[in-house]
Amino acid sequence: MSLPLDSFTPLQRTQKTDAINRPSTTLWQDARRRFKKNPLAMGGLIVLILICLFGFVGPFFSHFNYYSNDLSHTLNPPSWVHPFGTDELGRDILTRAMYGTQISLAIGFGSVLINLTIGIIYGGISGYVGGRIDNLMQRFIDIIFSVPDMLYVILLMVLLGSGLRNIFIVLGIEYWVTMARIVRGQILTMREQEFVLAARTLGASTPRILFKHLLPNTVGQIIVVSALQIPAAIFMEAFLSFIGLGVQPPLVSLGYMAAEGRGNIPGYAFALIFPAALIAILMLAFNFIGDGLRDAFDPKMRK
Amino acid sequence: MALLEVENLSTSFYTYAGEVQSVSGVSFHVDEGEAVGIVGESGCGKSVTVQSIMRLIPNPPGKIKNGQIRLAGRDLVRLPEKEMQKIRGKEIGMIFQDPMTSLNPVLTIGRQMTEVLQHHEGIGKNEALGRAAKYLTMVGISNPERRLKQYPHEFSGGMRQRVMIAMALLCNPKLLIADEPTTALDVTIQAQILELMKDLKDKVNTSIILITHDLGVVAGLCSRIIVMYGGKIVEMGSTQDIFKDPRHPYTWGLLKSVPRLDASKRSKLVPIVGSPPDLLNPPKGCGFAARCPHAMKICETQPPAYTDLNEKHRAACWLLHPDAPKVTFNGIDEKEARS
Amino acid sequence: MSNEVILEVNNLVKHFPINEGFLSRENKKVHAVNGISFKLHQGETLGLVGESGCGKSTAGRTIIRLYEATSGEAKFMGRNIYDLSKKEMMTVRRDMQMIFQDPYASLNPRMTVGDIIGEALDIHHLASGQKRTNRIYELLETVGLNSEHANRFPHEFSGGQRQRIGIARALAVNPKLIICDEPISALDVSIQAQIVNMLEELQEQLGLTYLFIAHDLSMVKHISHRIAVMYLGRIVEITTSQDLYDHPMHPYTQALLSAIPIPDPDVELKRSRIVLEGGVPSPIDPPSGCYFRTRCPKAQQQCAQTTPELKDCGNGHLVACHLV
Repeated sequence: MSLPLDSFTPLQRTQKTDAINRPSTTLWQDARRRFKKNPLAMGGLIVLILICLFGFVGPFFSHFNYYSNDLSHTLNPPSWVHPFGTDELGRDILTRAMYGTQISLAIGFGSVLINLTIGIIYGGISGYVGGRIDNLMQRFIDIIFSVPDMLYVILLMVLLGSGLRNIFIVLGIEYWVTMARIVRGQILTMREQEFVLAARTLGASTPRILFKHLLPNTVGQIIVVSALQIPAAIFMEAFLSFIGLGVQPPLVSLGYMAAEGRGNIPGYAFALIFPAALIAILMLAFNFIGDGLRDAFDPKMRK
Repeated sequence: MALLEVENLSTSFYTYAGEVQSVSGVSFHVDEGEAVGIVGESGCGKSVTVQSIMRLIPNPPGKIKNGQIRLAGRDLVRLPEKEMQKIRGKEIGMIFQDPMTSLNPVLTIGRQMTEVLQHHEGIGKNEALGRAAKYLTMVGISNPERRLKQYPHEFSGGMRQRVMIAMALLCNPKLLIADEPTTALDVTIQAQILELMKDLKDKVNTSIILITHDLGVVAGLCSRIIVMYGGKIVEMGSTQDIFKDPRHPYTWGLLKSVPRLDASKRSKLVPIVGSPPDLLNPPKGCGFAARCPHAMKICETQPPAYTDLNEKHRAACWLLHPDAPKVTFNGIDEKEARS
Repeated sequence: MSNEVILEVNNLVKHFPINEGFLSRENKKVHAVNGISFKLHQGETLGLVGESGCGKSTAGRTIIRLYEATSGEAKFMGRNIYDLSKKEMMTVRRDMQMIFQDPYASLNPRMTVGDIIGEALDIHHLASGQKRTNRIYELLETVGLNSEHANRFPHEFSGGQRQRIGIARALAVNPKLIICDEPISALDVSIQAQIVNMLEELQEQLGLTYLFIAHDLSMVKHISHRIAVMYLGRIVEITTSQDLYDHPMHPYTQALLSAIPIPDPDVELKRSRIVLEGGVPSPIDPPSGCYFRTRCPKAQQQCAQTTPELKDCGNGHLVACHLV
């Protein structure tokens, strides 16, 4: 083998600092990439978008509304005019389902927003301050936890009275407990991490450590838990409406529709099946998204 | 006679960004009763090499792309998983870095040790317990009968590593692979484990592959050393060759970047500049060229071939080419002393 | 190195109570640091070595007041830091900084490198706007990185690079004393040398004083002027680094030195090792008298009865052993 003459001339080095060759990726981009690669999660997301369109855009294309009775067309089976049929007051089930979806989604997102706020603040303080205060705050949570969910929600609903606003309140204060526990746990494990110690040796104040260092690092977990709490809230609302403690007419939610349809099962099962199926699809979609998010935010470091 | 022959082994991991060539074209052998050290920094492919030998590469994303691994003449790469399970633990024993996580916390030590024996040798429980006790004594654990009834958390770190060694040796394997067995331990405990391994090497006729990043650890235990860098073997030779007459600039770098306890004056350390290559896009020429103080034009374009220096000693470096400028280990010493 | 004492630690004790739960009234505690004393001079490097669990990291963290001391004092430039108010402590924090062990855990993964380094400037209102940016670039260059790196996130860097970012963060406030808490033990050998050389260069340029905590005695010997050996929360021997290697007097130091493998087969095969029996006792209930007596090959009766004090054996070589 003959080599070029200058093969063995020493190289001159000019570069003094290190360069990074890999493209810059933030943790968010990384999570997004993993999420996109998960077919179930992406499917769930697409279905959710379709349901949102159905609930929020659909009513503009409907010839009917959710409250006007049409007693000449009661309990019609599905047809071209009423694809989902009509209910016992002659209202178009498809249109009612659109509005019901709106309400269900609003309840899902709304109540999670409330519990997010309470849960993060409560869990954050409990985890960071620690010691006696943490102990007291946790015992309070234990007490709430020791009362069965269902009982607690029903009691509160009876106490406050049914109605949309109260559902928000009740579901909001129902689920923050889980959120607070998760946030606290995350913060406890992170409190002794060296980057937090480093901030403390620099003299960072408590709010700074909490909001700049601790909470941003729990965001992934918080998102995952929220995504799994939304369907739980929707389901709880459906259940409350089903037993008559939920939204009140003329407002309509999917659970309320299912309850109405229940009375007509023998001959007119469609009045139950359509709203029930919508609830089921919605739950599935959210659960797939939640699982996908959990995998996407997996704390394992990038290879 | 060669017990283990690895020939042209290449193992890659397929990630979203592309193929990471963790090990590429690695060939070496281990003779019977011999202790070989594989030295290199994290990410150099030393762990992937032995995981390939054990066929423990997670697939996907990992895959043994190429090459042969022959244990006493049998090619392990093409062996069905079932056959391989019989080899793991029985013919090849393995000790891992972290003794805390490699034992099952909910089973007693006795149960874990006898399970291996019952599984591989099909002997009865009492006989297995007797053998387990014998091996615990051998690794310096007193009162073995009582110890066998205890759970891993009742052992200290050093004791757990002894248990791991006893477990790895239970079926009299032909080959023992120790992957950084002392890295997680304190120095005084490391000394205990090293003494034990030295002692065992003479007692049981097992070949040993010792993986470490600590040159001091291999110096006392191994007769031959393989230096890996960037997924390739850059130099191998007898321990004397590697420490007294190293020929690859990376080996020089390794030897000079660690301070010696027995050095009399406070001399400046000579670090290896920069960072190891990204094996996602391995450099075209020599993997070490970007960090090598003696790099030449050719180093960036063509990978160097092995030059045999003696029967055991070979290195892959262009400096060994007859036309290259003469630079030696001690040669740089003088040059650096002047500057 | 001058004769000015920058840090004086007197009889520092740090115990951690173990929370045994609601019902237990038993007051068990971890005796992490059991009365250590030493002086640190301006421009000096003092190595603090010992095995895991010997309390060296706790000592470092207590000295920088990440933990409150159980008793004892740490006088930084003449003032006991445990007596200082929050506001006074802020000025001390500008003079005393820390470099951490784990380059993966010591940088907030959600912040850019620029913000990580800039945080010190923000907290102490040292610079803002363009001045802040310039200062960050300057610090990055000091540690061998460049301005392009400021907008990247920690996970994009290698271990050695991350450790340099950690150093830049500590340097941002222009400290006088840096506590290095095992800054190299998580790094590869070739990278360790880079960091150690950088620390040595910075010491020369900026006149820094280091408290260098590590378990790797050969590296500590290389970087330190003096070394203190710790065992179960006590200092057992303290002297200049060469003297410690040439004339170790405490049996533990002797064992520690002989346990370290030397990268030379000739030396390694000829050496005879002092191999200690067993492991370090639990710091929850340490042995009576001399803590080392349970593993000491020379232990005698008095070792179990009285605790040996540090004695000067000439030239400032202090040893805590009854047999010396």
